[in-house]
Amino acid sequence: MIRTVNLQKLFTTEEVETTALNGINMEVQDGEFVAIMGPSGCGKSTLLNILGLLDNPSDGEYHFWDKEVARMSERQRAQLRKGSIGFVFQSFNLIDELTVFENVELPLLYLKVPAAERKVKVEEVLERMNIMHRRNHFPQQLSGGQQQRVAIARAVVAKPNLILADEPTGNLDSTNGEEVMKLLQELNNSGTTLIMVTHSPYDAGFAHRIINLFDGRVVTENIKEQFHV
Amino acid sequence: MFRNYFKIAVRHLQRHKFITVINISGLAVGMACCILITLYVRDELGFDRFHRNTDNLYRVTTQSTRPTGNTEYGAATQFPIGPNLKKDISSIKESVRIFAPGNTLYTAGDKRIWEENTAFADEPFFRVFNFPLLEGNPATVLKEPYSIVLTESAAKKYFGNESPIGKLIKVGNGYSCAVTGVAKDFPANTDLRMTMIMSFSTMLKEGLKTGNDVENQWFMFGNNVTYVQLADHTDPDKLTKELKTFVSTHIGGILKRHNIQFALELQPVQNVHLHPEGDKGVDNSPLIWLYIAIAVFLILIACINFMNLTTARAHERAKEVGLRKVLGAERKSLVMQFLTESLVISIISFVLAILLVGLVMPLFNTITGKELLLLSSADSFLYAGLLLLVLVVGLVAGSYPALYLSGLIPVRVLKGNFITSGSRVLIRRGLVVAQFAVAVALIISTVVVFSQLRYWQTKNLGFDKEHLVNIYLSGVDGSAKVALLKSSFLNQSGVQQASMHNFLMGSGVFNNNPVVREGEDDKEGFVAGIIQSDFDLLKTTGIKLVSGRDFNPALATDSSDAYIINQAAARQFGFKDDAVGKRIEWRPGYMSRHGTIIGVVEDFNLRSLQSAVDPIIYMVRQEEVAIITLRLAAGDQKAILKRVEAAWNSIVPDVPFNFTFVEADIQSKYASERTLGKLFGIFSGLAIFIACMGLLGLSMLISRQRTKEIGIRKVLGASVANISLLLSKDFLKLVLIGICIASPIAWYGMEKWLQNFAFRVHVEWWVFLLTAVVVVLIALCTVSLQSVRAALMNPVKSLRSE
Repeated sequence: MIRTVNLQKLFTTEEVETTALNGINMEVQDGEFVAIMGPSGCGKSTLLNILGLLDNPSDGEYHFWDKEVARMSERQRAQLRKGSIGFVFQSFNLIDELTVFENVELPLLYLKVPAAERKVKVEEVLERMNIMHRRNHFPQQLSGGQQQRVAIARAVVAKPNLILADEPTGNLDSTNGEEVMKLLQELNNSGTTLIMVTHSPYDAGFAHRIINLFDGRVVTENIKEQFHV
Repeated sequence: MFRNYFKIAVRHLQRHKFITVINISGLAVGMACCILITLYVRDELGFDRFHRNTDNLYRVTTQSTRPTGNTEYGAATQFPIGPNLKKDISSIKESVRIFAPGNTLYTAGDKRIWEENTAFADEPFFRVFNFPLLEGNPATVLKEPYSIVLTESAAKKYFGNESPIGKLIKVGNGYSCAVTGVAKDFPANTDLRMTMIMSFSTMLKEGLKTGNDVENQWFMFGNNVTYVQLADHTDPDKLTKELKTFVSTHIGGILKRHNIQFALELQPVQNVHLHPEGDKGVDNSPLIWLYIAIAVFLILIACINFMNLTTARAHERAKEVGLRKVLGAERKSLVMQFLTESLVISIISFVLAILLVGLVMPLFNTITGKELLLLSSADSFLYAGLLLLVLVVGLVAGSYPALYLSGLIPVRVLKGNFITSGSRVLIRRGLVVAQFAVAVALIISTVVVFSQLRYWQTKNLGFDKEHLVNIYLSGVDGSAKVALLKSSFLNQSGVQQASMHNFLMGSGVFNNNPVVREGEDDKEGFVAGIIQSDFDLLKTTGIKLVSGRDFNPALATDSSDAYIINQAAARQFGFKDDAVGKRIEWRPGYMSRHGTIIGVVEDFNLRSLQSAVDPIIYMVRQEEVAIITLRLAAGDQKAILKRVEAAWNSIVPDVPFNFTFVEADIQSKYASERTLGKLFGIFSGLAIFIACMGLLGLSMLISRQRTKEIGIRKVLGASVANISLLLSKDFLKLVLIGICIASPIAWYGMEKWLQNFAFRVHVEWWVFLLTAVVVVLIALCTVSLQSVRAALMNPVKSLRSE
């Protein structure tokens, strides 16, 4: 599903040039669950943003479903992203002015799914995330764990093939964190490809494979269990 | 999708109540002003456009250049011009003369009422103009002499619910007219607004009785105006030559003798209202543009508030924008979302604006003297305009924030990397400067307009205008009764002086006739205002003698062979300080009266101070007195007037007592300037209010964004005063720049406006200083509300919140 060749990312300000990614070569298969680990500032989130088509690399190749996307415009990337990639963030990133239902509904709105169908899909995913009873609440009225469940519901409602999670348990206590990881694992079990950035070795333990980054390079790759396509 | 936009817009408004209140109140006030000004301007531009023949209707105006090189424009035309134009020029289909006699007493049965707005009009009046008749035939109602047409309300006033047709109304103390028609009340948007119209032939007949054949007076100007209706598809410009020929045929000789260049011009009827003296005379249309500019500026100031407050909150919206983009939103849909928000605000503001307009309309009508109504009838133009206003305000206010916010890059904003770029800050500052520049320009203009008004009110007019009362003699029969009235008034305690004469102090003279040095040819003379009075005019009015003496009843020659002239007339005759003793002649056309100048008086303004002083000739002649002017003692004027009225009633009980204070008459001349001043005052107050609301919101947002900085500075030892100054300084700088930009523009505009007046103030430096100080103080107070609060915040709290 994903293949990068010598991926580079430079950040340039007026005086300093920082190399965030320095020749990343990696591959992710359909249905795989990959964890990316490494110390702060090693380039984990930058890599995730590029994989999620939110940002372009400075150099190298990025093949997303055998399509070279590294040089695509923001518009083209947005088109490709729509419906095929779901995002889960550490800080949940729910829209405060929208209810649980409306937050989850948002990706479907942008995909122009008809209202009746949207309702069915949103309710289905809210049931699955066990948050249906909170459908009319606003994010501020929920606990952290509940907010992250809503965020996951929003990430999966359009049934994307790839979910990118950036430290999904980073703002949660251990009980809620465990619950979120189990949800992600369930999603992966049902066929969704998952790439997750995490600091937590425990969370990484849920993945099939762990990629360790340091100073923008892949230093080790631990294959926890063999993944079969 | 739209529902989603709408929902989020409403929820945003609810959540940020303070900012919402600032935005909506500013826009609502701006829109309300805009609607009021639009109604006002539309009314001003719509005068006399409703006539069926509007495109073919013209008023005949004059342009005359005297030997002194002075060119004057006017709308008064000689009586014979109308019918002769129709006779001589084939493309002139109809001509209508309208002569307004001014304040006149009308009597029907026991109803005796003074009427201001009545006229004599030629027979085609109701065919040429669109004033529908409820009773009577438009072709014939004004045909016969001694016919009168009443408006519906005038008919009700005199005859109640009975049909007035055939009934008689007595005019003044003379003849009676029979009612031949009833017209619907004239609309407010016509300059021909009258309550009663008599046939022109009535006036001609009455004139002939006293030997005054006005129809053949080619050199007598009065309050007579002439309208013509051209044949369809006639180009008025092509008539220039024919009008020239017409003038030289009929009055070429007399013009040549007086060395006057004189031309007739045709002014489209719809231009009359804004160009009362003809198209080349006083032009009031710049005022219309000024009002439109004020409306646009007020809306812009409010839109700027919306733009600034939205972009200043961008960091709060950035996360949402980033997220929506991540979830698949394209820029277009985000632009749509933000525009929806501004449209929702615009619609809410509009609803409030309509309510506001409804609320202040009576006050606005009182100030402007209009009878405006919001949506009085199905008016598609106005509906479309209002809809457009909502859309334009929504789009103008929303476009910049929408483009800015939708352009945010998701990776950056989701990381919390939100830095407002220098150029954005510069735009925001530029907008604040623009707001204050407009507000300051309006304030400066207001101060100048009011100082000009004050100048007019306090300037020495050349006579003592206080406690002077004009008493109108229309309806009083015979000079014996007039003399009796005068002496009876003088017997009342509190009446110090009395004089009978034939001009209206504060309004002007009734007669303008040629005068020459004795024996000289007509062309050496000039046209002067003629004032005829008894011996007491100067004493009563306080007009000051510069040289010579006043009229003296002990000298018999003073009533037949003496003149007093004003300085303007002396200059025009070419006298220096030697006018007294010189012989001059008054040549009104039907006679010639010789006399010696016995005195010269100071120039004084018969009209208002908007115009220069005309040359005036005074003489003792009591045949044509129309007014008694009284000088009352200071104190209880009401009580004195009560006694005067009692004296009047004992001599002429059947004529209603009618008087005006000279000072009030003079003030009424400045009505349009006073309206301008009041509107300027109100709108500049609102402009500064809306701008300060924006400043308040902006300072709140900025101090919120600088919470961390304030915390650190406080920890490092900054005082509350230091912090307040830090936060206020930036805003004050912007306000000062606004003042610097506005001042020269306002100075230029106001100097131009003041050039319209003969007697005027100059724009003084203190106006700018005063405005600057007031605006800076207001801005400082506004910003301090927030900056002091931010400075007082506990630094531990502000640092923790980061």
